[in-house]
Amino acid sequence: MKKKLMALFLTTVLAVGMIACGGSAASSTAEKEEAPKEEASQEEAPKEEAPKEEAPAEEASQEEAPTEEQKAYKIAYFVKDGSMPFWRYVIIGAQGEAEKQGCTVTEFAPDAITNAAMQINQIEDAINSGFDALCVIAIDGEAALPALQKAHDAGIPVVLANGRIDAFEDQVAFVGVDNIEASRIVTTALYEELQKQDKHNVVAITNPPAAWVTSQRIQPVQDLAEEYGINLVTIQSGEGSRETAMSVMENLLESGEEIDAVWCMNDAMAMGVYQAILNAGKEDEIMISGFDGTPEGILAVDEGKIFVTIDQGPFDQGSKAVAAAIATLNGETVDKIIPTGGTLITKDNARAFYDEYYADLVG
Amino acid sequence: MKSKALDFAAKYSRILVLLLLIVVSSLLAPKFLTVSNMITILQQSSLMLIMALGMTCAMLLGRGVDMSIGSTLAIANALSASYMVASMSTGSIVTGILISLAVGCGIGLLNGVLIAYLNLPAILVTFATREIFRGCVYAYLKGRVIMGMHPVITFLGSGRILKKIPVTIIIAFALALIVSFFLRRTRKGRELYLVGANPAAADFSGINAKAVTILAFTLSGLFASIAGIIYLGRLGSAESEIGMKFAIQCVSAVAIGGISFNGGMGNVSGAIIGCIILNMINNTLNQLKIDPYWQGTATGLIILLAVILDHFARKRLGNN
Repeated sequence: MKKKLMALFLTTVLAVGMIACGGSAASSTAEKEEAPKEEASQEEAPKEEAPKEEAPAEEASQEEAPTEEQKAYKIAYFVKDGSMPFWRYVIIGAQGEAEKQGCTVTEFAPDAITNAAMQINQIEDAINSGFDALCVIAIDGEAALPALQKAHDAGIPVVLANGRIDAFEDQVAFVGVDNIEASRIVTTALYEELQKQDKHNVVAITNPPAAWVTSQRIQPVQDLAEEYGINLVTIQSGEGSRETAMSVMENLLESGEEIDAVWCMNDAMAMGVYQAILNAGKEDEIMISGFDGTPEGILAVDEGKIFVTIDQGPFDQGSKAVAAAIATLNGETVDKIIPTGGTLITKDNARAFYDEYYADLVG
Repeated sequence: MKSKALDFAAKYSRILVLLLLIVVSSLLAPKFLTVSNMITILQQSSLMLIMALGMTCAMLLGRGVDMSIGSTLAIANALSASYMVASMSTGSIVTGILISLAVGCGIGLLNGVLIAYLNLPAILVTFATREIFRGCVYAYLKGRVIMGMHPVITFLGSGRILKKIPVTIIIAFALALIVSFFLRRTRKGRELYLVGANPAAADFSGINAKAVTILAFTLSGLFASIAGIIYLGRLGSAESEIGMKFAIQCVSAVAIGGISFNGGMGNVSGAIIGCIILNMINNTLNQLKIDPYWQGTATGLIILLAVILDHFARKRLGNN
């Protein structure tokens, strides 16, 4: 009897553990649908200023059927990771848009940002779970191709966001700024400034080496180096993590290498690097560039801690992808490429950008 | 003579590995053997050491490792930071720290109770709590980063005494002394060893193994939250992603340090050496600008080497 009780208890503990484990739709939707309700209303303000592409889709659907009778589509949104701020904003944007149109968004995230296999499994499971459309931010676009094709062949429209997968011809639309393109914009900004100041030595700190996004974003860093006379001192992995990037930077500072700038693959690492540079008293000598345009990163640019970062329009990636999915389900045509983000954040526009998009966020 | 030398090597195998590492690194990297770099390595090691102290207590039991320390740290930080940032007064620091410690103890207690009463390997239980509490911190922060720490906290994590010695090193050192005293001189500490080394004998001696288990894992959670407070000061923020790899790094460090997975063997000085070796390796790999693809391989090989050497050392010492 005691053994059976223990077995039951164990099963419950493991079950709870697995439900809480990143990836489950049921519990995470319940939590997130309560939270975004507050933020959805705050989203209304920035939405009014959002580019006009959304408006025609919504008006068209209102002409075909009154808002009350809009079918409550079930949309699955696949992000790369369950915790990083960027993906949280994507989901907030997505759920805000879905709520406006009377549909539901279920979030799917794997347990780690490098777990492409798990994401693909989730996509395949979703095909059989009664979802009307999929919005996908692929961890590995090439690996995900078969699963996405399966979805399309099963009559489920697929909208891509954040990272392009040109090989997937049946995609409904691509929403976002491509990783390589965005990287090119921010890298050029950094390199141009360095060239102006006659500085050359750059260290690049990346996400985990195995990540697809790493191989995408690092390309302009290497490709553009020669053009701007940049000496790429080293490329090291900061594991995408703030504290690892900080330790790596501390070690690099100890090595005595001459460093003029640090190119960081995300804003969190840029902040870690900033701490290291600050502790070494070199915050005026070494420039930092970030990526993602998180609220923290934008504030840091405004305060001069980071030189530049690039926004990827997380809220818009969420909301516009969902809007495109809903519009397609309603039988309308949507633009093949729906640009979001790609806004270079510099000292000139950081404050304004922050006030427009993130001022409502507390903490 | 030969046998004496090997005995010496066996007894001090870890220190020899450390010395070997220092020699090789300073030959390969010109700026390795500087005071500044040594302090940097020690500071990074201190953060890992604080967590490793707790992990050592847990592992001495021989029930397994605590995989949840990263999540414990994350949620302790999130809760205490949001409290402290809200009030920003000096009094709130004390409460904030207490909140963090309470969360650490609470999660450690939960782990300990589950492990003690369910009789499961610790790794299973702590994997579950790791996921549970990571999920909690995601839900709590919803992607926010809490910024703007009080100067006192910043001092704990980033401050230096006499312009040179990081406060973090001093804190870690003090904690190491306390834990060392606890393990060697107090009754409960010695009970920890006995339960790990020989559970049957411990039982016969009337030691309450369940109570000791609960204590050990509570300590593991407590030290994770202490390390968390230091991280608040070091990084200047609380976020939900912190600490994903802390557990595995700590386990590697204490394994190098000679703390046996079977329990009952190992001490604080082993934990210290293990942490230093691990962070020293990372420092050297960064300084040498080794390709990130190979850094993991290099680290893994060195860990393997250290563990194998330790195994042979034990065998040899065991034979004598």
